[in-house]
Amino acid sequence: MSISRALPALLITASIATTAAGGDPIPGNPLIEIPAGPFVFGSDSGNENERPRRVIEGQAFAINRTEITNAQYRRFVDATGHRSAFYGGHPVLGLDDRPVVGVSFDDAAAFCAYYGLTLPSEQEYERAARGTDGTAFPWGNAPIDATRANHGAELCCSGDDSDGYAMTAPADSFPAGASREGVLNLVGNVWEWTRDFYAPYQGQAPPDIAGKYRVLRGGAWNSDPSHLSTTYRLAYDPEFRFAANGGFRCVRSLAPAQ
Amino acid sequence: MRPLARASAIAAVIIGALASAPIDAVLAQSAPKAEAGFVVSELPIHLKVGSGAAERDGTLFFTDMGTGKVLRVDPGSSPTLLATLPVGVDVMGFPTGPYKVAVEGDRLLVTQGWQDVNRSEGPQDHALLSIEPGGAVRVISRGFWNPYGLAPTGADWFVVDGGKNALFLLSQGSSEPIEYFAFPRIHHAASALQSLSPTEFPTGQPYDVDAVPTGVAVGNGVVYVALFGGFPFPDGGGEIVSIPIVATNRQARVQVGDLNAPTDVAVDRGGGLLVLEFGRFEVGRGFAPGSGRLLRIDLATGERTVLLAGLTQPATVIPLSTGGYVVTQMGGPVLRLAPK
Repeated sequence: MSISRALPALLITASIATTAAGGDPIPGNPLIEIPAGPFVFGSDSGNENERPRRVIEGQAFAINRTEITNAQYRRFVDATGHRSAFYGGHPVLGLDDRPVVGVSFDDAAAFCAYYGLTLPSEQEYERAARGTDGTAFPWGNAPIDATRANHGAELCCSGDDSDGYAMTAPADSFPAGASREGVLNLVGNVWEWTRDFYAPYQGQAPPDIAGKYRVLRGGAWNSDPSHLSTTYRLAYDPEFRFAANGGFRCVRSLAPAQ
Repeated sequence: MRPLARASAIAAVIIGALASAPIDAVLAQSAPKAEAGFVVSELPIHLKVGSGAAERDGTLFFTDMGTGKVLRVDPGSSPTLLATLPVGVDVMGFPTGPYKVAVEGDRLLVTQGWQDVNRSEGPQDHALLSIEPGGAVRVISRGFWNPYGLAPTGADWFVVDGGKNALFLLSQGSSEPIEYFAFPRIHHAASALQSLSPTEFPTGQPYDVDAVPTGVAVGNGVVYVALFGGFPFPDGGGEIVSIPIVATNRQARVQVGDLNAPTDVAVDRGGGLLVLEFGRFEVGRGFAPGSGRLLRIDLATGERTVLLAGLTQPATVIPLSTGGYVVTQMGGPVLRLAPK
C-alpha cells in the first residue's frame, strides 16, 4: 500500500473517532457507526446478478442515519454553487424534510465529497441494510408492510399511499423499519446511489457494460415487492438526473474506491 | 402530460427544467433557424411558460402556463389580459394550468390542467373552460384529467387527454365527454433503452410506453392526434395518428412516424400537416434546448420539410390567416414564421 493510500485511511479512522464525539459533518444527519466484521453479502434466491451469497469480511464504516434531505442538499448548493436538484422546486418532492431526488451520480458524489465523505459501496449498503447475517430487510426477515417502508403498488411501478405517502416520505420516517443500528429507510422511499460500477460479482463485466453504469440500491416509493429488497441491484447511467425516486446517503468509508 | 403510467424502476419526470429558465439564457444556447423562404421573428409578447395560441381575423390569443394568464393581442396593440386561471406543478413535475386555446364565435375555449399537487382541487381544474366576452370564466366540462389538446369540430369539440391517454368528443350542451378513441401503448425495441439501464431494459425484451396524446387537429375527414410517447423518449418514438370521423369501428392509422416527442399538430393551408417536435431527450439534460422543430408534412408524398429548427420545448403551432405561422415555446419566446 502506498503512503498516499494509507494516509487517508488513517485520517478516516480519526474522523470516525471525531464522529463518535458528536462531530457529524452534515448537520441533522448523524453518521451511524457500523463495526468491522464478517457479514453475508449477495443472494442465491434473487436475480442472477445478486449471486453468489457468501460471507465476506467487512471494514468499519459510518453511514448517514437518513437519506440526504432537500434542506441538506440546498445548503450544499448554496455553499458551493453546485447545480440544484432537478426536483428541488417540486411541491412534494422538494419539501425540506424529504430525501433529495433528481440528482445524478456526480451530483451525489460531489455532495458527499464536500463533507469529506463518499457514497457507499454495495457491500457497505448491504452490511448496513442486512446486518451481519444477511436478513431480508433492515428490520429482520418479517415481510415488508406499511409501517416499515415507503413502498409502491403491487404491480410495477406506481406509487400508492397505503403507507401514508403517495411519493417520498420524510427522511426520518418509518422508525419501525430501522436497521438494528438505527439507520432509516434503507429499503423504500428512494433508490440510493452507490459508488460501485455495475458488474457481476464474479468474473468480468462485458465490454458494453464495464465501467459504464453505477448501482442504486434499496427500492423506492414506487417500487413493487420484486424491487424492494436489500440485494436487488439497479444499474443506471450515472448522468441520469431525472429520477423522481433516486437519492442517496453518504458514508465515511475505509474501503478503497472501486 | 404524464409520461410514466408504467414507469421503469426509476421514475423519471421530464419537462420543466427549462420552463423556468431565463429566456435569455435559453436563447443564448439556441437561435431558431427558418427554412429558406421564411423569416423568423419574436412577437412582442412575453409569456413565462408559453402554451396555447389561436387567431381570429389577425387578433392573436395566448395562454401562459407560468402565470395562468389568457391574453389577447390585437394587431399593433399591446396584450390585453382576458382572464387569469390556476397554475401549478403536477405530481410528476410538469407545469400545468391553461393549455390550449381556441376561438369559438365571440368566446374562447381553454383546456385547463390543475393546481399544485398538494393543494385542494379547484372548481376549474381538469376542465374545458370558456372565457365569455365580458371575461367571465365558465366551466363547460370537468370530465377530463389532463385535457391537453383541443380542436373544435362544427358544433362539437375534440379533446385529447394526456392523463387518460384517450381522445374525447364533447357535444355542445353536454358536460359529459364521450371517449372517442383510447390509444394503446407504443412499443419500442429494447435497444433504444438499454443504454439507460441494462437491468431495467434487458437485451431482447421490447418495452412499451404510454402513447400520451398531446395535440389534436381536424381536417381531411379525419382527426389527427400527436402522440408524445413516454420516458425515455427514444429518438423517433413519437407519431401522428389519424382516426376517421365515423360512428363505429374506429381505427387509428400512423400518419407520420419517426418523430421526436410531438406536442402539437395542425392542418396547414392546402391540407398538409404541421407538426411540432418537443425535442430530443438526453439522459444528462432532458429535452435538449434548441432541439425542437416545426415540420410540414406533405400528406400526398410523405415528404417532410423542417420549417423551423432550434426551438426549445415548443408547445403550439397555428397557421395564420394572413400567411405564415405562430409558434409558442415553453422555454423561449413566441415566434412568428413569415414567408419572405
